[in-house]
Amino acid sequence: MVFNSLTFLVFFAIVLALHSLRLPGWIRKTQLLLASYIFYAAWNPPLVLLLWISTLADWYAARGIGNATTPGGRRLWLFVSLGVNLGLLGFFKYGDFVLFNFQALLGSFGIVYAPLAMNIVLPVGISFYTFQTLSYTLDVYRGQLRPWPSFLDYALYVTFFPQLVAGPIVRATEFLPQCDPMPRASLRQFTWGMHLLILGLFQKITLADTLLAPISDAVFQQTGQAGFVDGWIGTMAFAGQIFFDFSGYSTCAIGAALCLGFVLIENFHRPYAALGFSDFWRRWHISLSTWLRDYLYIALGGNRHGRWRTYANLMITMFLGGLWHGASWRFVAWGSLHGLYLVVERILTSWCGTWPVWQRPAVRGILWLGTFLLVCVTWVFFRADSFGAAFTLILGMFGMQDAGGLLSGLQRSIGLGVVAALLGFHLLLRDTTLAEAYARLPRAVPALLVAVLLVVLFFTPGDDRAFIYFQF
Amino acid sequence: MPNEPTAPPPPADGGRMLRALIAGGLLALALLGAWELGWRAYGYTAGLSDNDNEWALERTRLRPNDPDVVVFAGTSRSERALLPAVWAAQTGMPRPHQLSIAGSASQEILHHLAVSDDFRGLVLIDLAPATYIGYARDSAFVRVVASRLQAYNTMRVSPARQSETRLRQACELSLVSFSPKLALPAFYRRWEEGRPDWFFVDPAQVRRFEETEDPAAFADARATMLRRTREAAQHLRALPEGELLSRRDAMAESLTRDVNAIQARGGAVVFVHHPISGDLKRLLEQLFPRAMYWDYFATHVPGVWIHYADYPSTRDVTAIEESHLSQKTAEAYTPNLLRIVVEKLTPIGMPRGGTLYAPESPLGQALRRIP
Repeated sequence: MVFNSLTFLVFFAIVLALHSLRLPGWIRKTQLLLASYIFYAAWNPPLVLLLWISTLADWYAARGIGNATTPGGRRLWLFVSLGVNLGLLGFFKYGDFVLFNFQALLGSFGIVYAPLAMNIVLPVGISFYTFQTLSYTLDVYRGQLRPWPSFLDYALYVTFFPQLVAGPIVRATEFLPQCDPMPRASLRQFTWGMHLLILGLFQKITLADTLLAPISDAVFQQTGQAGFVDGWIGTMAFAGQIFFDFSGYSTCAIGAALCLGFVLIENFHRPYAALGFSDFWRRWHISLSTWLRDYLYIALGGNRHGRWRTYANLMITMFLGGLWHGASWRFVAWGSLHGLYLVVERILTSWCGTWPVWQRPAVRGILWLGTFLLVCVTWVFFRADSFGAAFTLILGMFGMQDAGGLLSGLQRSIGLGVVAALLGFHLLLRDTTLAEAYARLPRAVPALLVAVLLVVLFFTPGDDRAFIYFQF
Repeated sequence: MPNEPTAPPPPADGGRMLRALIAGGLLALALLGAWELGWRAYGYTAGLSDNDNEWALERTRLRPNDPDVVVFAGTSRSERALLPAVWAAQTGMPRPHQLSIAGSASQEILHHLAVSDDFRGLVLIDLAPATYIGYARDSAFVRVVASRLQAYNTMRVSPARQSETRLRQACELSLVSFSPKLALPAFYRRWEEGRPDWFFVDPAQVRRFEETEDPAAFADARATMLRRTREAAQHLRALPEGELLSRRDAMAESLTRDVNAIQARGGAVVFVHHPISGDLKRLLEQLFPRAMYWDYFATHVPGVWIHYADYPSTRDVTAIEESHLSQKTAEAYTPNLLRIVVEKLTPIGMPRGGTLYAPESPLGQALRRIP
């Protein structure tokens, strides 16, 4: 089930009604858990089994770690958890990819190997809930959390429908304490949650799907005909599309959770206002970047073992971060390019990071623009259908390819207009929160905004596009 | 920016947000109500749209292994010419499933039914003449079917997709404003195409097959169709006849495989050439002479082949814009075609495992009641 559907509206209305009944906490918790399973099963019922396997494996692994009396015993239970979670992820997400590359590798040595096609169905959200359950076991292993006493709370943490399939990736330390006692939304939470839901749907349905997707699709489907202007507009349109798509999902998730009385962390904080790439990753998909930092980068040694090891750790983290997004070398290229940016930034910062010139507004403006444009270049690998198509488009973006006039004047205006508005919005609200900005609005504006967003949402029924991050 | 993820608190004034939601919601409701009433006053009526999900939902409704299932699978000609409700009223059987797709290579729909092991029913199908000599896998003819089959494959496993399509159907049947033609992307597309009617689309244009018997109302569609057919003719005339014939033979073999697969399960396939007229009829006859294509298929491919020109009740039917039947014409044409189908099917149906047209089968009995 996706947020941008009538089915979800009906489902959510029923869930809210049941959740608001004056019933004991454990009953409300159970009904929320059942609703979450229905939410997931509505996509493909048998795959709920995987969710149960992941839930049970980490529940018992964490208890095993908690009860183990020796470091070896603790480590054994940790390996059980890692084995089950990464095994599921590896098989379902990377099975075909590994097989294909193995076949290609053998082929390069002249060995013909034709395995049976596995045709594995990728269970929606597996990357998200796997990382979430893993973080629970890892936190218990590292002593940051004791095994949680209530299985019901824990199962709800894994399955909680607003963030189940596309994040934010919530840590157990943030979610589980909220389950006891079972919360009810305050007026502030409920009304703000509804505002966020409307805003998130507007981002996804109107801005991402209706306005920007046709522009980026037109360019990425015919990269060979994209010149300088259309190449950049198409790429920036995709930068906007993926932001509105994914941030729209996160905003809906945070809003829906808030309506139920649960607080989820912010997942995006004006990423296109970033000055530099470390800043970008502090603002983009925050729950994943902090997960990778805490459980991978720091576990690899972080910056504690000298310059070269730090650079290597950054590259490994971003390489795997790219691979997390999908079983394709294009995602690896995307992640590795970001890793390279981070390494170069770190080198430059250690060399000239303290120069006063960086504080000048014009220089900061150039840094901001440079960051945005370089991030756009990485999106080409993320979105293109193949490496060939990606390189062709990059040639076009740098004026090394004849322009074919892919986009109409109207499409160019819409693409540039929406992206300019997005960048302006990000720069304007760079260091503030939405709630603070909302509080500063003149009296009648919020109601007008709600009305306009609702009307526009009604007029853009969408073409049933799933959220881009569902495939991850 | 903090280094740790945070959850920013909501604005302090809950009452203000509640008032904004209520006032904004009421204002939106008023605007949408005015929009709805405006389009109704302008002449629009609520109705279902034709899209991938509607098709996929209809496909999921085919009862598995039921020999009484009837499917209309073809192109837009089939969509316009065969009316499921009229067929159902005549036979007293459940409504046939309209799985025709405008602008499609309908052979792909037939193939889909052939490889669906649980399909044992009756298929009535028309073929687009341009596909007599095959089609490229990446052509628009194939893509439109592939897109619908993909929607079906998703819908088959996804209760959410089924419920979403049903809810959307309910909304489309109740609200004019829910029509995709009145959605923002449709206005945007029309505006981009530079159409003068980008905003006020004439409702009669949308429903003209249903509402008019005046061929003049279709002049633009007729001109476009003839232009496209002439463009295709140039391409075809460049091909040597030997190649045309080998492509035709390959198509006959492909159709034979699919028909045999359906017949082996007790089903039946009826190929129908629906009426066309005027310049289009003359042009298509030049491009695809009946003796070379249709008659060849009829003698080399199993199944029943019905050409409208061979029967007194259908040979004089006129297509309103030379290619498709108007609603009124189709209301008379569907029962006439049904009688021909019965006449052709009755002698051949009996031995197929006593299923489709055996005397005891409901469809067999219903077909025999047709006068």
